[in-house]
Amino acid sequence: MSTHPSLYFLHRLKQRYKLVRLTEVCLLAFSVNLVVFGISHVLSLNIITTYVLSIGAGVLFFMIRSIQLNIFKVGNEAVVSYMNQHYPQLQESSDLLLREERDLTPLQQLQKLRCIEQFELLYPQIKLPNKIKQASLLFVLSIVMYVGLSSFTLPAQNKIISPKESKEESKVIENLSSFLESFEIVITPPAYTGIPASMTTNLDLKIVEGSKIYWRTFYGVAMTDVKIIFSGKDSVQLKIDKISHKIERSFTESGFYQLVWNDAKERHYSDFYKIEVIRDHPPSIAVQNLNQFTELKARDSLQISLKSVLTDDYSISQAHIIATVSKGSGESVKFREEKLFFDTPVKVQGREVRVTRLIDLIKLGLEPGDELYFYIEAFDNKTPIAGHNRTETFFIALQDTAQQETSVDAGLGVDLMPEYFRSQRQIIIDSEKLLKDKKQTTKDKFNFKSNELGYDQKVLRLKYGEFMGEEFDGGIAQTSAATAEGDDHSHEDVVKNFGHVHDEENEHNLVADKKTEEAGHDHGDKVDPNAKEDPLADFKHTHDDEEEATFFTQSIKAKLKAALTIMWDAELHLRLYDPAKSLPYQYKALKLLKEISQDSRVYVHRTGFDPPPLKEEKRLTGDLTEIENSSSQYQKEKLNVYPNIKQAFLVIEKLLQQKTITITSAQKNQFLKAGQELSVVALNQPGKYLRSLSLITALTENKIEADKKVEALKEIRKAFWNVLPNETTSPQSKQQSLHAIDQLFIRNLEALRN
Amino acid sequence: MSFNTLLPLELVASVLVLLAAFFIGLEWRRKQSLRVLRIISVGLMILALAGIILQPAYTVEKSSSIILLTANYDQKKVDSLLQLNSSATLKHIEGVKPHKGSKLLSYSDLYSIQDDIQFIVGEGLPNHALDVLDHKTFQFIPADKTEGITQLHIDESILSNRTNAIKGLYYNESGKTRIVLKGPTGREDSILIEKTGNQPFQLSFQPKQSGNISYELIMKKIDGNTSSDILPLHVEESKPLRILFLQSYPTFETQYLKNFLTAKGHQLLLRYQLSKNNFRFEYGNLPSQQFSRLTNELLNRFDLVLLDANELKTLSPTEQTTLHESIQNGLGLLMLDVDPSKETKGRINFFPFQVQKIKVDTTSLVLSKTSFTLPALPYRVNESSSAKSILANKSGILSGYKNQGLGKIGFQFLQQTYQLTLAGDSIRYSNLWSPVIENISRLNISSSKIKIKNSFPVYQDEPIDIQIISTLENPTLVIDSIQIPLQEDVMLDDVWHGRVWASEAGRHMIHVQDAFHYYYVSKAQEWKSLAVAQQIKANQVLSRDSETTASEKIMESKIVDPVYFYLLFVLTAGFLWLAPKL
Repeated sequence: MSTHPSLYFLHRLKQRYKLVRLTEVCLLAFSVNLVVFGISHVLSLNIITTYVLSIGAGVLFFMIRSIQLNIFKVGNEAVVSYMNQHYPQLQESSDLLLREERDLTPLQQLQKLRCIEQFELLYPQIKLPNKIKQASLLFVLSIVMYVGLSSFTLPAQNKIISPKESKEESKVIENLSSFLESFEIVITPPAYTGIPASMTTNLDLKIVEGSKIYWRTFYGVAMTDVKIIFSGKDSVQLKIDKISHKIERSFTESGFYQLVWNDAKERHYSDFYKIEVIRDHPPSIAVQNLNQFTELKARDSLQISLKSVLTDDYSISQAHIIATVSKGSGESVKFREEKLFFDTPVKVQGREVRVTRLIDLIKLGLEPGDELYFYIEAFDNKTPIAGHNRTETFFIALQDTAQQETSVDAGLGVDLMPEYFRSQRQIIIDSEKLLKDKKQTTKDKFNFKSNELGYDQKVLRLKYGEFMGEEFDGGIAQTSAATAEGDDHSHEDVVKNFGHVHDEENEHNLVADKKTEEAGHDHGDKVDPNAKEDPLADFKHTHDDEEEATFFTQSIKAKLKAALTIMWDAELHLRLYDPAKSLPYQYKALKLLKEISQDSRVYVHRTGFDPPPLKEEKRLTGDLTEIENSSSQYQKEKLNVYPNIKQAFLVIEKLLQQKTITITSAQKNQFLKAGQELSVVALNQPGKYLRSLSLITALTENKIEADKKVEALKEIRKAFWNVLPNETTSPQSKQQSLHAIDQLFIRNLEALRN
Repeated sequence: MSFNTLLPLELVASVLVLLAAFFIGLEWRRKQSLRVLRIISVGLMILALAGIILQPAYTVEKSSSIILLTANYDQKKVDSLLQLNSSATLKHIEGVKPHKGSKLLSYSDLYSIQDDIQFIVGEGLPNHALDVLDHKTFQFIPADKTEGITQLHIDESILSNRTNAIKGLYYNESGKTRIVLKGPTGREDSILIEKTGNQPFQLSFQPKQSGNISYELIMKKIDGNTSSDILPLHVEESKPLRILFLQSYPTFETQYLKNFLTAKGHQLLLRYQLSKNNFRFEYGNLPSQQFSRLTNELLNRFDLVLLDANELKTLSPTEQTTLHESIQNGLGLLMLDVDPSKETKGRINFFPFQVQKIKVDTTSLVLSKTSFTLPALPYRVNESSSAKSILANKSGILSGYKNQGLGKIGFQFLQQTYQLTLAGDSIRYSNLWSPVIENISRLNISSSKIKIKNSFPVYQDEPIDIQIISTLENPTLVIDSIQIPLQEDVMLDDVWHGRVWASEAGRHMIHVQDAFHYYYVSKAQEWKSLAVAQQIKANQVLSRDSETTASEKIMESKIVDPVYFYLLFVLTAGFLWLAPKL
């Protein structure tokens, strides 16, 4: 019986030993676990790998150590032998405790009793071997080490409120970044640029106009419904094949895009990324050695060497000169266009080409007074429509020296160049001038001029004679020359010629009335000579009668005949160097011509609006009763530009006042609407507003950390303010509240003044 | 000896004498013992009554005086004061460091010792503490000025798309200071202050939209010290005007003005006279309505009438009276194409200006920093006349107005201003016409007006006094959706007062039925110099005449405690009651 308690003690000892050892091993295993975790974290291994590694290391260590120490197989014998070794009081007989009483010799029994006594005395002091202290120390050290190691890693996702959320969030961010990183973008510029296709992972793109962009992602498992929204409008679903999502598009305009996808839980929107299109500019042409206007003298070298530099973004494919030669002047100007190619290089190609061309004006057929216009035109290799550009037109003029002389002599003030024929009015004026200048001029000159006027008078007479269908057989020898001249026009349209007479009517207005009165007086004096001449004229005209009928009525014909006869006389006196005597005839002739032109006016019937007949009874009564007021109405509600941006701006102002910024869903909605307006603006200037757009999306999706919200809001506010246009001043109604006493005061003041 | 009584002294005295005579007479006739004693006690009782009613006071020399130290006090000044007034005790207000064993005084104890405060040294007491003091008998010795903005003036109404200005004074201690006004996108305007002392500054800005917008004033010292204060502004919403054009015939001028105003959202009605009874009407942003006569009802719907001189002639006398009445009631009238030389006698004068004829029919103007020439009528109104100028140059006033009752009559001598629009200069065109139309138009009278009586800035936990002028029967004051009680002014009708304590920093909205107002509670560290300057000014106003020096004796009047009179009254009356029973 007495052995029982000692057996029990022994059992307790064994259990205690096991427990202590187990704790020790566990502590050590945990330490190993922590250290491995810390190290793999520093190496920024995948989170799963980290866990597997560290837990594996811990478990392995536990197993090795526990096998080494044989913890699970420790029996009473081991305890007994340990006690025998370490506690001499037991006299190496503690193993007797394990034996049954009946198997023992009496001596052994005696010894056992003694042993039990000793053992019970000893029991509280028995210490079994362990390293629990060292293990605890190691454990503490490993915790310190873990903390130290983990502080090296980036403090990335440890700012989120609850640990549960943080885990999810970190997972989402992990997915997001890995998703975005998995994007492979291939940019293929158009073939003509000669730029090879390139691959990039940067989602902000800068591309050559017309490039094709190819997006492709292999992260196809968890993501569904992957879309790209272009410039906030077009959403395009990515095509799915076995391993990837992909899409291809070509761009000619700048813009931006956003990626949208669903994962298992929710829909994700990425940031906005810009697509900046670099335009292919048309070629630029610089002409180096030529002014736009060049005037050459006949003696100058008539060869012009043209040098020009052509440049383009990629390559120039073609260039030439378009030259136009203009010849003649006035209505008879003629143009000839030629396409000239450059001398060097023969084939224009390359990014920057220096071209030359020697332009030989003589070969182009330029003569003095002619002009050459030319411009250079260049094409680049853009497809499908080549970009092209041209210079300003250059002018090269060859001076006409002959013309220059006339312009110097033109200083006389009167154009002496003889017209085809002079009008009667002009002859009168010239005759009067001649008489006036009689004293200053020599007799020869006077006679010469008088004779000349006589010639003019003859030409005029012949001209009018044509209208009469006159035959000039009766003329003086000189007439043949005149008719030769006259012939040029005799076949022209008669009415057109008649037009000249018409013009004279206008000229007539220029002459003072006084002179016509004088003419009248003169006419009165000289009636008799006319009368004498008349029979002769009559005789002549009877001779011509048969042919006359075609042109004019009888009265006109008679007048014309009379005029022609008078012209004869006028010419006679001029030829006799006596213009004074000739003048009365001239005036008379003028008067007759004028009458003829008046008579021969043609009546043209006007067609057009026929007003309804007036109601006589209503006329001038001033009755307006049936006339109604007219009115027009127009609605131009003040153009409210960017209403949502304005609203959102005020929301930001309000949020910035708050200590802790919390954005309500209504405010988020407002931001989204403003974002839509901003995206329209961003389309034109993607670089400028894209960041603000991204911030707006981030704000509405609560992706911005609390301490960065103020900065984000300020940046968005800045963008909004920039977008708002500067408007002109508008009058505004002024607010005022007058106290009744003030109003009374003002009224009474007014009463006092009156 | 003086009396503090509500009733006239003579009245009280005569009544009491009569009363005394009556009671003495009664006692005299009563055939009982102790007659002399009874008569004396009647006299004493009447005296006690007199004491109770008249509240006699006597003047004594002020027994104790306190020098109160407030923030930033000058120790030297305090020492000199102590030298002059050795009996004075030093006390310092909460939050101020003590000096020479001064005792702490909390704001709540201020009331009880108010009569003893002889000097206040430093930045003075805040408004709420000054309110507590019934008798302000202290002399205020201000602290030295601190560097910063000491005065700030912001226009009462700030309008969008217009150049608004902030004016103020900056006390510059040393070195150069740059003051920058920062808007939502950055710098709007800045000024460099080079001289020391109080320097005026003005900064301008042009808000692009209405609403509550926070600007920032940044003070940069040349040595790199920078401080910034938030400047809260409320940009007013623009309200459309209703304008009536009465013209005898359409002109380019009115057509362009019409286009300009309709594009800005104003409501226009134009009437041209085609013949005596036929008109052409044009409506801009208005439903169509026709009229042949001017009536009060019609004119009351409009804020401004543009009238040309020809059309004025065709108005009937009744129409002219109607127009005149409407102007008296607030309508604005803008006269175009006037010919002051042809005055219509016997009729109502719609052109009450004294003009001077000049020879030229063009004028050159400077607007938005560039000069240009426009045709103008050959008349000018003199600067000296009572006309208020809107646009003027050396030759005189080109457009201006005069108050007529509650309304205004104005004129515009400039002609063919549409040339500016044709030349593509819509900015100058709008700058030319906007002030003319705005100044002459009817004032938009709202039923209530809110006024904050505190000057900017206000800090947390400070009282804000609100005054409301309202024609409403029962105005309700709501601040941030909390209703605040209002007290009607004792003396003035329609004036109400309310008080509220500023809550957390930021913008708050006051709202009385149809009127809104915003106030801003600044953060404690903002606008320090301005607040101090204003506090010093408030204390200076209340300070006793500074000529009385510290050594002079200060007398104060003390009311005799009425308890003694009550006691005397009870004793004597008691004796009179007891005497017959003895």
